[in-house]
Amino acid sequence: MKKIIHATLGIFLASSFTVLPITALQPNSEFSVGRVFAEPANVASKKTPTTKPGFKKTRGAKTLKIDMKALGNETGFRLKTVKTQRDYEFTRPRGWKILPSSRLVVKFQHGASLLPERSSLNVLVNNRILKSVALDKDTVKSSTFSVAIPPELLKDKNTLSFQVDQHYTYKCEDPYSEELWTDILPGTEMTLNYQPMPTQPNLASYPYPLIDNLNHYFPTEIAYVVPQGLSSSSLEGFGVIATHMGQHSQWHPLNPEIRNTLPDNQNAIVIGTPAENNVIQSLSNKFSLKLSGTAFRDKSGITLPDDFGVIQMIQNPKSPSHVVLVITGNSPEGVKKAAHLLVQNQLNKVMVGQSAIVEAYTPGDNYPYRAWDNFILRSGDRFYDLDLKTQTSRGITALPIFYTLKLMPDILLKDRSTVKIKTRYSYASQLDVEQSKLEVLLNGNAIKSIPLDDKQGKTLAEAEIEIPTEAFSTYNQLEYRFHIYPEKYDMCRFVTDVHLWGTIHNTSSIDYPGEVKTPLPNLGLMNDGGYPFTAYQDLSKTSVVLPDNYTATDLNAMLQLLTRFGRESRSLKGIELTAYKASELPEDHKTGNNLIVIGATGQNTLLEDLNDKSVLLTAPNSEQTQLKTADQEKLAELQYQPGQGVIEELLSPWNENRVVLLLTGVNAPAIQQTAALFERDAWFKEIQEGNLMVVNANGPKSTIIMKKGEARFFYEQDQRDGFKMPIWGWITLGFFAFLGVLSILRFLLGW
Amino acid sequence: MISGLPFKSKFLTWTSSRWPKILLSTLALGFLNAAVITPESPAAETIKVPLQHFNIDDVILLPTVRAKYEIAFTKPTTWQLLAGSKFHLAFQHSHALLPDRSWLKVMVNKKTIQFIPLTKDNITSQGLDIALPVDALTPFNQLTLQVEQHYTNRCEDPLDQSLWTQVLPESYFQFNYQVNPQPLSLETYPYPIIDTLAYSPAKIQYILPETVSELEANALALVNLHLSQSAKKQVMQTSVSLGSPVSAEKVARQIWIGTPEALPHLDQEMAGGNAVALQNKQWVNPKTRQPLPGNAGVIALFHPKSSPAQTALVISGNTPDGVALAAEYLTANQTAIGLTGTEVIVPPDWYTEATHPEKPSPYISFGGKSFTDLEFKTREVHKITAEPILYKLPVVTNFMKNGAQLWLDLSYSYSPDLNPEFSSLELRLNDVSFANLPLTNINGDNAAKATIQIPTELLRVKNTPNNTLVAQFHLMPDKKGYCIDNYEDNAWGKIMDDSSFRIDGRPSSYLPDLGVLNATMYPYSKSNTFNALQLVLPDGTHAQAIDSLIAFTTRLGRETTQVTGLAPLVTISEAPEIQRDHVVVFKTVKQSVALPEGARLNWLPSDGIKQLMLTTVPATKAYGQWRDNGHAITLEQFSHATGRVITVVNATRNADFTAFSDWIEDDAAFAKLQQGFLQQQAVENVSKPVQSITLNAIQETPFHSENTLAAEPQTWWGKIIRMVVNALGSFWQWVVNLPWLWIAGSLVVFVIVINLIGFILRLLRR
Repeated sequence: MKKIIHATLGIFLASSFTVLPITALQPNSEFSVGRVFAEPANVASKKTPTTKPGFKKTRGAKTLKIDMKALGNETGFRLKTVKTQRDYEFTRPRGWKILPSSRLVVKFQHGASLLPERSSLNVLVNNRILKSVALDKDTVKSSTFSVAIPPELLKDKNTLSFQVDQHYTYKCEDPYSEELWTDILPGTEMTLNYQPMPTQPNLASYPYPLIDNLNHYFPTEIAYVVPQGLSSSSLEGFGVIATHMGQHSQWHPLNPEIRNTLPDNQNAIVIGTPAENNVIQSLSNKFSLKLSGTAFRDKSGITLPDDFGVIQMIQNPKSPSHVVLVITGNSPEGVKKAAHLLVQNQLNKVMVGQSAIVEAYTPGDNYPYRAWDNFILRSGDRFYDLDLKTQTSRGITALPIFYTLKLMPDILLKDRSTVKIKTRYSYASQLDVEQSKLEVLLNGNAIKSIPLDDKQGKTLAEAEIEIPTEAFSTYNQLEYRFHIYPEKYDMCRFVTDVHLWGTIHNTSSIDYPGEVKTPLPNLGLMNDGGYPFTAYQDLSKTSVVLPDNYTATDLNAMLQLLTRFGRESRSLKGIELTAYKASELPEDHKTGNNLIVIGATGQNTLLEDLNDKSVLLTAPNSEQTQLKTADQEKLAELQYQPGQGVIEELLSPWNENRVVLLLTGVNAPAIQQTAALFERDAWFKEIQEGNLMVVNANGPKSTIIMKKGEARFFYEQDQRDGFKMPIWGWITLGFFAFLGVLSILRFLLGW
Repeated sequence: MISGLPFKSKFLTWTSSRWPKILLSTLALGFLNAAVITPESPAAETIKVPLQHFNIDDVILLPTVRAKYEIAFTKPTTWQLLAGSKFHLAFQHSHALLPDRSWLKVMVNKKTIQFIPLTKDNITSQGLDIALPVDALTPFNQLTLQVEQHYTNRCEDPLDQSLWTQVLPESYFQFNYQVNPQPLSLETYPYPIIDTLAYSPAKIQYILPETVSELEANALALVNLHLSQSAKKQVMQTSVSLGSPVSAEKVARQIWIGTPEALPHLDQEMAGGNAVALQNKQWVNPKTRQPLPGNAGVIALFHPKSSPAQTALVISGNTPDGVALAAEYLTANQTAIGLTGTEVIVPPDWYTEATHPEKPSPYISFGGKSFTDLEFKTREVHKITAEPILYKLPVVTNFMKNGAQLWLDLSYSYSPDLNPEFSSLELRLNDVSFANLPLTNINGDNAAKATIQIPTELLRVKNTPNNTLVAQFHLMPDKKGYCIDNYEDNAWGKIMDDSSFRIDGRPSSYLPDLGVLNATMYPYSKSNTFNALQLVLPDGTHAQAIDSLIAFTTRLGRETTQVTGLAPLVTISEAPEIQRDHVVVFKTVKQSVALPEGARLNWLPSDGIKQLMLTTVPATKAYGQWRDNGHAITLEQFSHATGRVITVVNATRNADFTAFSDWIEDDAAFAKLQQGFLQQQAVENVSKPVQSITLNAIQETPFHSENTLAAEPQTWWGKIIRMVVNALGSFWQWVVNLPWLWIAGSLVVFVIVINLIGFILRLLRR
């Protein structure tokens, strides 16, 4: 995708005003061969996580049904060769007691030529065979069997495996024969019956029960009870909590919503001072730290100072199986302090109990720039820097080894050059050196075949794989297939393969020709990890700006956007995002940060400042159906309706090394559409390159409408420009160098 | 039917929250193995021992044409086994097996007790009760599960995947027994205090004076370390009672430590013996009624009068010095001393040479280790179905940071007549294959050597330093591959104990890191005599804190090899003199203990207020200060100078130490310890098994680190150097963030150099 961005901008920069169609590369998603885990095996196939529609939940009966679609193979899975195994991971969410009535129904069929006495299908959970069935003539056509899942067998993380051993003859058998197959069919389904166990609120378990990372099944629902009229400081508290929840959720579906009252059957987060948020006052008698009027007191009855924050976690009075997390204080400064301390990922681990009074918080040094976990940050990074493991595969039916390589979205690869992957590998001795090889594939395409030609085997051998830079994108699936055969391999002998194996070491490394150099503005980088707003993973150089009289719709847009940026990022420390009402935005934040400006035109005063910079700002209450640039030059005719949201990214007029993201439109439904872009996985995934996007009920439409010279390359070192020595500096240096050379010549030539 | 607790509630009076939690976990998770079942008669008892007790958490897979699995089980010394004792076998097998040629045999001490044909009728999980030959059982026994499996009558691949039987984890032993009391004797010490043959945890109640002196605390630590080194795999659960015992019925053993004057209830419980007697709260000679010399020690075994079925040990003397002497005597080399009878008087002038028979710690740290150092014995396997040879290899240092390399100098041998095409020795580390040694000499090799580099990225150190190294012999007979049904398989392979691990370069330390305490107790186990260990308690410490100290020493003892000459140091003071390199402090948040100069804690809980300072090189201050209303135990480790480590155990309240003791005594719960310099263990009101506690580890790497420049200097000149180094470090950080400075600087230097050269040349020419 990076190459397309660059190519596109290249064309754009060479022309004047152009509207270009953008097409994103869709990474190959067919990586489902062999023993790979179903979740999140296809990470590379989607840039953003998607909700899994295959899960069916019957709430009343407390039953979870996991079908093949949910496991990642909607159309089933074919098990080939003489022996193979397919593993699927599934979890047991915290607080679930699995009941003995849980069952697994397996629907399958197999090749007609299998020998029934020599062929079997085993179903395993956590390495324990639950059922072994003969693959005989009765089951050639679609057949079904059911087996109980013993609850005591299940742990937090579990593996469901289908294993086959299949033969069509007693002698001279081709282990890869097309006759050797068994299909696990889509009717296969696991039914987990469970009882939710009661939850005790305790900050030691935070963020549980708000977020349970073992819940791979249902979207996490969090109600934010946040009223309109919060001060800028409380807004900031809301923002950092929303981002933090997103960071904890990661790829798990998360459905946050704004409410004015406590939900009936949901976990909730209540934010604000007691004076700002009436719900806090209504919960007063549930708190361990009591309220006196609108002021909190400590246990000895002394009113807390205004700048102290208060954190309380209590049972939801409307639903004891859920909790309410209250982020508050006697002043908005206290709320902000409480929120920042709670999301500090080290500090919150040593908090315990149901309440805490926050007295002081210092964020410490800035989060390192570009410190993105599991991304290739610089040339020479090793696989273990990306948290990839060393893996072994065994036998003549060795299963492929997969690695997902993620390149930082701000790296510009050099055209017509090569990315080099120095692969370190080992393999067993006594291979058939004529036939054995290591095949390497990138995104499903074979790119290299390495002969395994040392009969003694090798430990820590190295091979360089060259990949054209044009084929290497932000997300890449690298696959290693060991084709290993024993010496004197003969189908008509019992030739063992138990001693055969191949290993890929995570000391393998990646070298690329390129530099940190990002053309911006580009909305397409948002779904490459939230760039540039998440360049600092604590969002410390990002400010959200709301209208002075923001509405619930504006708050929802802020919530959905920050939840999404949270899910795209991971801070090991805290969240240092800031948020302001437009009129209170400090000058240093205005000039020093990337800004996210939310609000309908006419509502957010900052939008007026951007009128002459933005290409598609609309007039308040506009009835126009065509949009024009500020200088009235018509760029595009979009079928714009008043309810359509407009999202635009532009270079900040206050700092040319920062960007401003606008979430705007002419009315509340338009703002709601912009929120939906960040809320819906499928829509967010569709964001294309460009600086402008219009969002309507059918999803987003991206385009590029920029003036020549508006795009800009951002470099490493905090998005600053590269070094530019002034011309007088070059002249001076050149002059002295010339004198020096003359001196040498004078000596040599005897002038 | 489970009848209830193995001891009465009277025992629970002071440790009301502790014992029930342990029991709950025992019953719920089966980890500690013992569910006591209603006795058939008053004297008979029944215990059910699941396979988890033998560290078998998964199914036992019996693959290939023939395979076996052995389970070592014991018969405790006091047991008289009764009829009805059995092994309950749950198993399943492949449906491809030929019923007339496939069977599962169960043997005890090599004698068959059950022969089971593997037929179509018992393919799915079966439960089968097999009577144990109670008369043939000895203290140490072997149960063998052996299979013979075939899928065809001719041209069979002995390694075919369809050849399998699984013994399921639902299998268990059930022992019906009567306890036959044994005569008391110190000759068998530490039995009967510790019975390593027993299936139940060893429960020990220490009875100490109301106010424990340093000498008595030292005696306590010494005795407990010695006992726990004897116990090894046997789980030990200790409790402490100050002043008087809490009745423990028959389950717990009592150990009284202190002078008779400080233990006023001792004379009510102990009858006079032949060698010593109590009179007016003094040890006297029973014949002369003369008090023993002040510094003489007394050791005695007895049955307490209030519970005669109970066994108690007293370690005493008429003065604290006498108590310390008795403890030292008891833990000295017993073969040399020759403990006999039930009472021993240690003369005041008794002295034994401190032999300090240090043994190398059984893990890899900074230097190489031989297999013998690591307690790896020579291992031999046989035939085509040779089982993998497993070695547990803890590594406590970081090989990745400085590029240090780990090499295995392997010494092995193998039999003649192997098929050279397929036979090899495969090496795996943590389930990843990394080397294959072909076994190609048709005449075999009795002294083969190989040097193999171990890929250090495979070493697991974070969270747990446990690594599993596997040596797998693939021993293929010469005729493998041909359709010959009957061939002789005399193949064997052997890994010799003169193999060793070698290190190139210097690995770096992870310290401070609580995670490496897992499985190794590093660095506290660096010396297994503990001559670098100091345990610190503040004045006025409660029984629960002392119990936590004891629980810590129990874990330490169980993770180390038994030696004599133990020399731990216990200090009771709020301003202790830190004399040793490896220190553990046990305190509540209300107590303060002065730490040595240079030791700075990042986690500062005081009464009510909690502060955490996160600091990284060269200077970062992320800081939080708050007051919360929960209860917790926190552990912080600090490395304040090269090789010196302090761990502070902080409890919100005295009662919360109980949670720490429960956690550190339980193998599964302790294994949850994670990487990080700080860990919080929440103490929740909800009663739940100890294994499900909430542990939070803080992984932020603080500025201090063992054996690095960052370790805090102790001298004034060292501090100045440190300041300069830090200042240069900061400047360097600033410079490297300014690439333009590099470019401009290089150009300027280039120009200056050229001019200088020109100038010099001109001078030379003149």
